[in-house]
Amino acid sequence: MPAKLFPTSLVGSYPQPDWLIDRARLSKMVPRVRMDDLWLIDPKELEEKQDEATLLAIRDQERAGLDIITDGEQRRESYSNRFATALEGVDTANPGSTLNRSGKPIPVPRVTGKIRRKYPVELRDLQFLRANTKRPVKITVPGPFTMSKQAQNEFYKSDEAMALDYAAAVNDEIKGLFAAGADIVQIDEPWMQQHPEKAREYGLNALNRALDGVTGTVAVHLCFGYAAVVHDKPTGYSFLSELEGSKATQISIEAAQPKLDLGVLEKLPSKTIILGVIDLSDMNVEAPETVATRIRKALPHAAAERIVIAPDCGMKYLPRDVAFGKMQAMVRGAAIVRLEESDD
Amino acid sequence: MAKLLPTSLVGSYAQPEWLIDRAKLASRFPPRVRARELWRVAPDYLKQAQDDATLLAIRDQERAGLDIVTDGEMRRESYSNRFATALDGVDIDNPGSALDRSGHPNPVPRVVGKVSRRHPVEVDDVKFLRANTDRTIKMTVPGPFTMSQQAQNDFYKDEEEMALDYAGAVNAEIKDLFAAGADIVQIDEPYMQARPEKARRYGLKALNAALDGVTGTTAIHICFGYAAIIHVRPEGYSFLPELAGSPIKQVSIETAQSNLDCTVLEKLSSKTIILGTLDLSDMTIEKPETVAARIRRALPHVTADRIIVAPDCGLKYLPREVAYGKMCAMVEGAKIVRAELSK
Repeated sequence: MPAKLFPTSLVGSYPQPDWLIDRARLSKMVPRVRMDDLWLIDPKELEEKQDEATLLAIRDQERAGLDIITDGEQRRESYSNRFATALEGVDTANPGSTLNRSGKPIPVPRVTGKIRRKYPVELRDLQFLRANTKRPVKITVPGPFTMSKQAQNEFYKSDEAMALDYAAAVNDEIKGLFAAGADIVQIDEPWMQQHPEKAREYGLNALNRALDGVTGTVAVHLCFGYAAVVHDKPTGYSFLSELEGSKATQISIEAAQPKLDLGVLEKLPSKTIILGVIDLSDMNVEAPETVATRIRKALPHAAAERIVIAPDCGMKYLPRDVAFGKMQAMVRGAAIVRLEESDD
Repeated sequence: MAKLLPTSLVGSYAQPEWLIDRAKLASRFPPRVRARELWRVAPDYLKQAQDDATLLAIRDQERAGLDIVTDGEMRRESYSNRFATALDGVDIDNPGSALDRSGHPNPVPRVVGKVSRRHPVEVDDVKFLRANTDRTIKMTVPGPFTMSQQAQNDFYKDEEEMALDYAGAVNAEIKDLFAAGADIVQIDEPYMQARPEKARRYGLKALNAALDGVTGTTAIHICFGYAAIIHVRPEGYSFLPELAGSPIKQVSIETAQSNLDCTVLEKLSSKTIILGTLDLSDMTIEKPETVAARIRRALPHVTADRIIVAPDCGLKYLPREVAYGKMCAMVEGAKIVRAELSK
């Protein structure tokens, strides 16, 4: 029997409970250095509560009917800062500064030495996820290019050299995650879209270095920024078709909110597309038929066997009930089109 | 044909450490008045945290493979005080005192007026449970007799009259719980065992009043007290055959820790038995075969189609990993006997 068409999955994050983290402050900026004071919990108990929040995130995904499960990134202040600040060579106590994608200066890790992974960062997270669901699991790691853009370089002669060392750290992490049972590892590289020239110059190199010797299923997520933070989105990516030449086998893109022209998918003929069909700027839960329509739009451009159904981006900033409703709509929408395809 | 030997909790499941101060909870008698200081989450987030703990309790039960799911009583400081302190006619700010089943005085609601239900107490809980599992669900409510024993009567001429008003409140609640989607409602009456003479005198009458006009599947739980608090157990119930005459459909009893002589179950031939097969005084997780042996012990006295497999009592005071392990053992043990019976 062929694999199920249109399997459903989150991109990565799911809303964190109000009792765990200060969601009002969290939604004001995306932290690049550590922001320990966002957590509402005594540090002694933080891991236990993060575990509980993770179980809730898993349960919500299973109940909604998702086929691929993430840990919802409940332990993270942002998708990238937990990994980025755990590395050797970065000074997070005396941060530097960079412009975020909205053009505002934000504190970032200052790179003061050779970047190296000191220890596995997400290994326990993956083990916990693996132990608590029987479904295929995906875990996300921040991409080397994005981390290099979210840092102040005071050590390397070139940003490319720095990005390649970030890539080596990510490579170590990815191999450890697959060894521990990950079915899919996703590299989050939103800043490739933000800095397309640099991404072409050395981002792809760094990505391929991060995948060196990796045999598991790897995805790359690119987006226009969190809907909660970035409001106007172009209808086309500035950097996307370049990924056809990468070693990643799945590409996660947002298509719902930007009403993306899906003709671009024809430039990724060898890739599985993680298709964003949930608009995260709209707090109304989509009707399943709306989701189905968004899926159908991709079908002229990508074979059904190569499509995974997902939200546009991480659901971190959504109210939990909205996020849950949107997951259900996504599952129902995928079921509609699956039925149509099997009738053909 | 319905599945033989379905599995179920009695009611409560272990609450998370981060939600409630479990050490403090375990070091005192079960609260009869409110004990809000036990909660460890700020009041603004307490409801969401209790909801989330409930989802985790449901998930653990489903993952362990239970057929009947409860909300684990995550929102309760004890099985009885949330309902008992929500009623009209009780003063909880100036509590009275009553002897606990261990013989020690414990602060209790002081009854200063006619007891009646002000508003539904557990209806939101059952709706939440119904919305979050597709399995058969059970809700527990404290029984009128037990509540009357966990109160200081400063109003009624006699305790029976008070117990009957408690029964009126419970009756209204039970009807609302069934209307909101409960499959089974269980009345917790542990004090019928602790006070058997009074239970015979007016406890049964109060129980029947609580069930008046109720058509759904009702259960009653009777026990010897929490293993964590009451350590010694008799080998037989002082009050049990009396329930044969009540309209209740299921009777929940403990047999594991007490090593109960199951012959007594022959006197409840019209009832489904919720059979306690997990010893909650022992933090070692039972082997499935141990659970199976405890189920088999009942089979000469109860037909298999009238047995629900359960722990002895609520799992509230157990470490969560022990509680989870015991649930899994229970499911596996039931499976063993189910396979034997299908041969």
